[in-house]
Amino acid sequence: MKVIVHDLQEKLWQELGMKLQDQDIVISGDADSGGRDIGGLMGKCSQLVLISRCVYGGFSPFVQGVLEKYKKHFGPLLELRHGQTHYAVNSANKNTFGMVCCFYGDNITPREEQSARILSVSDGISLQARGVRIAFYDTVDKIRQLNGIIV
Amino acid sequence: MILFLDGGYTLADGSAACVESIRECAQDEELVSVKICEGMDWDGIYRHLEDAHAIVLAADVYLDSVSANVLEFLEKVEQAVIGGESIGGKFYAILYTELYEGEQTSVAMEVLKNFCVHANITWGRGLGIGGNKVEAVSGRRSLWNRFRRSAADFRQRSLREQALFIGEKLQGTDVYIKPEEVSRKEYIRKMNHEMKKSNRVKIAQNF
Repeated sequence: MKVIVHDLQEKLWQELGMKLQDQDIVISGDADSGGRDIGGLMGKCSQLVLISRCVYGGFSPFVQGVLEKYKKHFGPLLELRHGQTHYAVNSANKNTFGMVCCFYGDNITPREEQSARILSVSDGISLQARGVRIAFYDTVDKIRQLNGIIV
Repeated sequence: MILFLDGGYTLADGSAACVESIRECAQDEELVSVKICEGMDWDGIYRHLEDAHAIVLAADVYLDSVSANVLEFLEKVEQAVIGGESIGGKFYAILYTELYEGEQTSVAMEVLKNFCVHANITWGRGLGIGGNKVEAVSGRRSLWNRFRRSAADFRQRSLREQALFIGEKLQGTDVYIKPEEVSRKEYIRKMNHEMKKSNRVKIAQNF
């Protein structure tokens, strides 16, 4: 099961025509989350796809807000990993799920791209993802290319 | 005037500590403190941003970023600058993380610097504070209390140093600190012990 979090308008998202399977979950600002346990879903998925406007080299407020809902699978206990302290991850999918971070925007500077890359890898380590793929697109239309990345 | 933006942080030894340090170092200057939240008085905020010689943002870092609320606030400020607002004050950041290493706030610090480039605001100095789960507790002179006191003192020294930069409107190199008095392993052990103890108390209270 994939969990896709995006901050696109629903119309734009539909126009992209992303290939999804029945069990995949799409979380967006426009669609009603229907009281779903978003953190719980993220903790069970095989792939977490974050599609975000690049805001100052990070995620948009909406995507960051969704990540904040993941808190209950995360901490409060600390552990040592890769020589640094991290929150202990309690989710069932740790070390097995893949993370895809896709940033879009027509004016992403090299410095912002670098920040976004470091942020994505760092979040992948924090959430204990198996691996992280990072993509940048200068137009929303090009997000279609994710069809070759997300499985 | 110094504008202090409270981006929602959980400074354990009293949320006023940060403001107090700045107040001590800039006694002659007015200090306006604003909490970033929904339904803010934006006319007032724009006025403060325009008048401020220094803008100080204090915020917690979670998953290498400041909160969604703070990001929304920054975007709105950038929009105001595009709309003609002029912000001449320098921007200072104080970022907190419960993780041991203050360096774990460096990605969020970069995001704030990128914001400054967009909003045409001069970057002042960043302070990233690790080990923010430590509480300054007075009272019993146990080893644990001494540990917490010394770690909190360490944080206060750095806050005062940051306040000096703010007071004098100086630019400086970003600094990342951690509670040096304790090792990383000891910090984790103590913090987890405290957390489990507080969880047991919560469970007991629920019965």
